[in-house]
Amino acid sequence: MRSRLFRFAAPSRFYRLAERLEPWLWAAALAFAAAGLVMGLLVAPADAVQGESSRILFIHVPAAWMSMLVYLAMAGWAAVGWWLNARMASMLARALAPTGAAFTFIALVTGALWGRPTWGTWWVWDARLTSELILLFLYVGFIALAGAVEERRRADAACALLAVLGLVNIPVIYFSVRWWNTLHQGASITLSAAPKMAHTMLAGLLLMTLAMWSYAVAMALSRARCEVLEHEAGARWLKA
Amino acid sequence: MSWLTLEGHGVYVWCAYGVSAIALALQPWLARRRRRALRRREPRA
Repeated sequence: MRSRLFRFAAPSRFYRLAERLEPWLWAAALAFAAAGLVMGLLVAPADAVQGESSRILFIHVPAAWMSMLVYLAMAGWAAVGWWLNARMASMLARALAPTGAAFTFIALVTGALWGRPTWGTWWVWDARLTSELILLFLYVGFIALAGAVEERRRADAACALLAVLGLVNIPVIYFSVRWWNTLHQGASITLSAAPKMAHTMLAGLLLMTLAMWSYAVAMALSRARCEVLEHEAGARWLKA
Repeated sequence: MSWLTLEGHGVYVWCAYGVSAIALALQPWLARRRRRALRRREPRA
């Protein structure tokens, strides 16, 4: 099993596997998104207090979850690449960063668009919002650092260090609504308690999360193929 | 479903989904463009 997994650490094998998996992941992302949008925008009722603006949460909440999840994956791959000197792992970390940044951007923008009608303001320097903004800066810093250092191994090491140090921010984002008295509401769904929202709302949220997860993996594979092409330029297997 | 007709804060809903759709659609397009450019370029010596 272990040797099977390591087979895909070779860029040539990974490239071909990614090429085969990608269409399925895009199809899954589109199917889940279509179902999630129907559920969230047409089937689920408007929130009794927030009204129609609550429909923004079907994109805001999954995007915010994915922004943290993608960061964990990115930091994990960056650390593995640094520790084991595994170039494919470092390439995956680089491939994940722009997708994570996009999810963070979406979470912040949709949060502001939800906050305006609900809280009466686009932005507050609340612990949850500020730590999510720091996450965006971490992603941008990672991307900038990867592009700024010429020598690839040094760039990957510097990026891994930044990503691992930035991991501190993830529990701060997640627990900020518990640790501090924030304007941002508490967790929408927890593992320890039954959800308090309508079943159709919960289904919409979960379907959109699955759509974004499939999108993130498809996008990571797509960008990782770019990284492989850049890294392996002139390799014999690419000409075949 | 008053959000469809921009009533009841519908404009915020449209903006949120519009911005997200653009951000999400831009990424695969950029990646495909980069991959095509990389495939076209001369191999490194």
